[in-house]
Amino acid sequence: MRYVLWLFFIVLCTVLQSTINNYLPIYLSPDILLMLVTCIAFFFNYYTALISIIIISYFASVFSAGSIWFYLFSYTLVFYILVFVKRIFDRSRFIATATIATISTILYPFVVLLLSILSKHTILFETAIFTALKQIPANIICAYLLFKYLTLINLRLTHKNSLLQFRG
Amino acid sequence: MVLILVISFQLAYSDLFSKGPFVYPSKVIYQSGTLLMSGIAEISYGIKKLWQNYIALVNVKKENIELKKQVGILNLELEQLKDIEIKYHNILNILNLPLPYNNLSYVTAIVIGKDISSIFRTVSVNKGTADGIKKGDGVISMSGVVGRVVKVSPHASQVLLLTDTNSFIEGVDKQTRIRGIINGTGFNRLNFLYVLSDAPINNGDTIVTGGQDGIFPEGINIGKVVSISNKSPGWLFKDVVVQPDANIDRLYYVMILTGEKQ
Repeated sequence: MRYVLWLFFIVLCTVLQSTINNYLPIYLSPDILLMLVTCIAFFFNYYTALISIIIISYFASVFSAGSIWFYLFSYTLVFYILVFVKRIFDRSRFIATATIATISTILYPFVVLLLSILSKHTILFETAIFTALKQIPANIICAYLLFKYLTLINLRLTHKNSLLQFRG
Repeated sequence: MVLILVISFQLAYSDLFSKGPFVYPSKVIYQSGTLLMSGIAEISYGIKKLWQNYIALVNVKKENIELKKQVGILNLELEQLKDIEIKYHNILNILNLPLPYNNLSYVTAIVIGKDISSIFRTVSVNKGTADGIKKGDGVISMSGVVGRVVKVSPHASQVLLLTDTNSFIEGVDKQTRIRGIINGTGFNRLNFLYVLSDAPINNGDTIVTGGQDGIFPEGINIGKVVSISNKSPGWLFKDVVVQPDANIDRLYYVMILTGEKQ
């Protein structure tokens, strides 16, 4: 049930991303999927996180012109760097939300640039960097909300697990 | 870990070659996602219409007087244009040339979503193969060229916009008949490529479709030239920047060209 809900949440995020991009200008539209990757780098164990990234990349490629490789490589690279950054901020996880969101936003265009050289997609660096920079404020708010939401779920699950362990 | 790898490769294989077990699920996911997006679009456009029809009535009287004036002027222009059209048809008849657009059929669609990544420029529309849309069909708006269809599902399609860096369309300068390729920049500007450095192109010139790419008929507006510069002395081509006529960032209705009428 937990995994079905998680899958539904990813689909919902993808559809939501596509819809809000249609109605909002870039600077008001957060990169929800990138923020989701930022969050899973913090809340999930290594393998669950990697599976999540594959699923997110798959759904992203369905609703985008980018191929699954593009999203898979870019999100995985961002994920690995964030896991590294996490070690620095490990003790103040929530205070670091804004910092992490900013880092992942700034980091993303560079990863995209690297991928555009390696893949068939032609992406101008200016496009990547400017759109990412414009998205920073919206991304910080989105990351904060996602962190809050995932913390709540995590707390409930931990509470449920501890109750189960206690009972049985 | 092995399972993850297998799934990952299967997904990539399906995505790259449109084969394998994940092709059908991706279509189902896209279809169901766009259904949700269609619902949101319907509600949002409904609210927008309500706003325009009822609340915005305040300015209608003022607008009405202004519009009546414009109708008078436009009626005069229409008469002149009708006269020109008759002459144009007569010339085409004399030269034995076919009439443009007469045989074109199109499907009107509503934009329901944008690309999930702001790096790519695509939009999702609410019409698909069930409405006769094929991959590669041209998409236009009332103002000009919008892009072309790159992905289709039964009731939704994905359109690669003119402004995407992977978009290449044949363009012709309406005034000087100079041909080139229109390429997206990722922003609301286009590059008009392969214009020779000594070509007599001017700011404000209108760029239209050339009609030889098999996607768009000849003469549909693409945009206007906004800047021309020579890279350096001796360089073969000019840097020509074009502003698209279609409002790419605020698309609502689009027309998908589905081919010739039977």
